[in-house]
Amino acid sequence: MKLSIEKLQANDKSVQIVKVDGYLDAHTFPGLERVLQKLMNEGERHIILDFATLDYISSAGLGLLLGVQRLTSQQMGGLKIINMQEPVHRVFDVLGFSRVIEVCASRDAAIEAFRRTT
Amino acid sequence: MVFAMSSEPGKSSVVVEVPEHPAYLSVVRQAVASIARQMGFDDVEILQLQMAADEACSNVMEHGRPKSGKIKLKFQALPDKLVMQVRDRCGRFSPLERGLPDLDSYFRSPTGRGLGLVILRNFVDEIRHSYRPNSGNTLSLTKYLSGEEKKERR
Repeated sequence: MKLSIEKLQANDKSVQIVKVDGYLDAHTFPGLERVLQKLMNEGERHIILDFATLDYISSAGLGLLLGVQRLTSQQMGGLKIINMQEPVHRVFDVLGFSRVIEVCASRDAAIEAFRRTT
Repeated sequence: MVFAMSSEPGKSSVVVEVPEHPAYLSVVRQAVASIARQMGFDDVEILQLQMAADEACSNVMEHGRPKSGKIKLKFQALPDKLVMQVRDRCGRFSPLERGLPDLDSYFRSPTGRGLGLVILRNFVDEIRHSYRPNSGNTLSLTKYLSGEEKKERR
């Protein structure tokens, strides 16, 4: 799994975009967890995960997303996911994660969703 | 890692043995994808099969005691279904003996435990556990091909 992080300023909000490349499973999720935990410790509370090149996620990865969504929401921020591949998106829907974590079509759509909701 | 294959008309089987370590989950998933794709399962079904096999192996890695060191998977590609058997040599342990959490309670739970079992129950059509003192646990996961896929496979 490879991670790259981009920071941008949207209106008055600092938004972190983390691109996740590869797969998120019991072996790799601690790497993403460390990065997200560090961002949240630094006060970042608007996080976008770009899943364009993520082709697999296990329950360990999904659990991490849920935890990050909870923590950022408590800080009046949130977690959005963009560019999710179709099979992963279908599984995400079936398991009910779309009800608690918003999946957006693009980076702009995610930023607009933050503007509306936080 | 050990791979073995056998084939006869209408039935082929592949055996994969991996160390009991999460680094090898990707090897398991690659094997699942390769076999399932060849059988005609679609991309979503392949992902579901990968997730089910991953959860079965992860359960052994996380909860199996004493550690047996290796997990053996046997894949049987039959005309209408794929059967995946996940075998360990740990003491008796079945994920099916735990109550099935519903998704609402999973999302409310502060610990976020139990999703693996939801995946196992929902992403394959049949799931069975057996245990023998000399050979350990076998979790058998079966997923059927849909009608269209079966037609293409003939």
